[in-house]
Amino acid sequence: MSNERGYTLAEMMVVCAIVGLVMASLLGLVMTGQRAYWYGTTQVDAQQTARVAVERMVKEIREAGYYPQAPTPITTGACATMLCYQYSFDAIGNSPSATSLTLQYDWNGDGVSAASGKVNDPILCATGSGCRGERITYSFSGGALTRQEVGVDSSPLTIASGITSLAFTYLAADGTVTSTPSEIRTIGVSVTAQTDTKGAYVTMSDRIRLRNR
Amino acid sequence: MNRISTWIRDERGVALPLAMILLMVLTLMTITFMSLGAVEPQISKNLSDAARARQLAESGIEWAMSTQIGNQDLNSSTLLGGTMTTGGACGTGNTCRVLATAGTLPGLTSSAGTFAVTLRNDLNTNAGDQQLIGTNVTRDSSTTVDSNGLVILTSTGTYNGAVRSITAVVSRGNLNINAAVSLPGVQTDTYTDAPPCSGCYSIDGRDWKLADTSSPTGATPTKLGIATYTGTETNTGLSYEANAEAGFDSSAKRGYVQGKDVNDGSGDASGTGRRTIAADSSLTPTIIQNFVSNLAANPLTQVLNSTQACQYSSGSSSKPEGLRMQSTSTANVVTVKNNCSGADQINQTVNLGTATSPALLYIKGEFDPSSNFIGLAVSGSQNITGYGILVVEEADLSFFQTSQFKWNGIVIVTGRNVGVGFRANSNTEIRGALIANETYGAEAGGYFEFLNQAATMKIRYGKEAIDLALRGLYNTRISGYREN
Repeated sequence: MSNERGYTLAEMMVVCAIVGLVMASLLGLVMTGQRAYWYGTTQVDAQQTARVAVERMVKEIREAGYYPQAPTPITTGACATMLCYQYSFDAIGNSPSATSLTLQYDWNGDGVSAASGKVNDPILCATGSGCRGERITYSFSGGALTRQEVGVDSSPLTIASGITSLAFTYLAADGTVTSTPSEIRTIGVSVTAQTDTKGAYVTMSDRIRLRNR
Repeated sequence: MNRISTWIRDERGVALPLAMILLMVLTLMTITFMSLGAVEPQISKNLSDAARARQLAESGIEWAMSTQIGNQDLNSSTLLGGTMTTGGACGTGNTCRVLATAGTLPGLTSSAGTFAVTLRNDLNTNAGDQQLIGTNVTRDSSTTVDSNGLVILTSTGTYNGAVRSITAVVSRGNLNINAAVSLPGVQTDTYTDAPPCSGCYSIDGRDWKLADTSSPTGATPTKLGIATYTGTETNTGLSYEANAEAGFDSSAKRGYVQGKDVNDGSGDASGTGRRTIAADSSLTPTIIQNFVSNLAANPLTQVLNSTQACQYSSGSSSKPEGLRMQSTSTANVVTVKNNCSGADQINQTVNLGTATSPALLYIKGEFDPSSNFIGLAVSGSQNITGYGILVVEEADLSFFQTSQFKWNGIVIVTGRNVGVGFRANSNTEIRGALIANETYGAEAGGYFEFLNQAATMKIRYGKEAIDLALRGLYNTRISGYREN
């Protein structure tokens, strides 16, 4: 025990120098790791953003054109030799574009897709009161994806930001591109998100067949 | 110097606490980073599980449509009419048929997820069902009898705790036929000769299976001999039922009609004659017209136009005939011709189907104000056998063939100024059902919806043949798909 009289200043300085050298080299590693972590974080953010945007839209696009009552068959013209049905409204509203579209439904089964106000959806609305709008507009501009449900949202609500590009494509039953609402049977969605200028970007794409048309 | 050595001596043992603190900080940092890193995979897993659950739910819908519903009569003993459950999987207050509780994807086990599928009828006591099937449709009043052709299919997919449900309204071109001969239209004029021999004529509401030859063995409860529209016919002032009964104006004529007994005080023997002719609201002109429209829209349906411009001006009964169906040496193959040449000519071979591949034949006629136009005239001296659905619209159907014409399925004559005629010396059997639906209330008297002057005429109700015909139609479809 009598030999443990502490360290000399010289010893301490040598130790500090060695530790300093080790720490300096470790700092480089830590900074590299930190950069990788930050990049990973931006990738996660971008992925989350793209996911939110795509998941939300895909579900609602799948249900577009909901028309519970049996539609009237058409047997004239080109429909004499193929199966056609007469719907009172199209699944997609007028003038769909690459960055905007309106989805139309008939939640209350009255045969029309109301352009305003809330309607009663027997499954989702409690006690028969109106709680859903029958038209939903998705629009992309200025890096943000907005959604507006008529009767429910007074203005478009941003559901995802940090989106660098978004594109809708519209396909008819035979797979050809169309912009005529009544012909649309499948919709392609492609979303690219980048939440930081120098961060990672993620692109997600999906094709959705309209289940009700 | 002495103080410094004392200070150093006093700090002996600090290395351990410092090391402990450092270790603790590093441990906390490690745990934090690890937990942060674990959030993203968990989010991905949740999304993936939810997507798989939804896909399982869709698989359940597809499975039910292809194997349980698409080719079935829903009012059968295995679906809506089968074992029904109330509450539980059906939802509070609902009565349904549980089609699957833990269905799996083809070739996979339940570890890849399961789906549960239920089927129920829309019900007029269930408030939400009106919106669910559309406000212009009348809801059904029974949990087991689907009269409006709409049922509600629910599929729930489950994978790793994620649950997704899909509700689909399924519409189908069903016909709720309750008689051997149905006259659901706004005229029910009938005429029949007395049977030329014992057993030559028969209108029979018992359930004849396809293979039955001398007596019926089907399990379906006996149906009416003749069912009519409910109400009063404008021309005659008689109820549709009484008007139909008027054609059977002798005991010999009434004797060949048998079926479900409705004791209306007519004095006929139980289950025969007028006691088996009754009003029934299961079929209406609208139901028939919708059914025919669905049939016409089906891509499997063969449509042939029968026009007055291409008619044979005077056929076997001195009436104009738009199309003639002629027997061939093969029983289920006939030729169909009109009297035109060039682009409007019809001269083709038509296959009348088999039990496993029934035919859907739709003769589209043309309104004739004089009521004389025969849209399809069947002729020939070789046997004809058909399976499926035969429709003649806006014109008469007349049988002139001298060998047997046997149709297994449903024969429908519908539209304005229409009727079915079993003409002199003809030989016809319909196993399934015959429907003559007059939609024009002002057709002049003397033009019958049901006319029988044949040598042999047997119309036997047959559930098996009706189901076979409806299966051939394959027009069940999802008209409302929604994720809950």
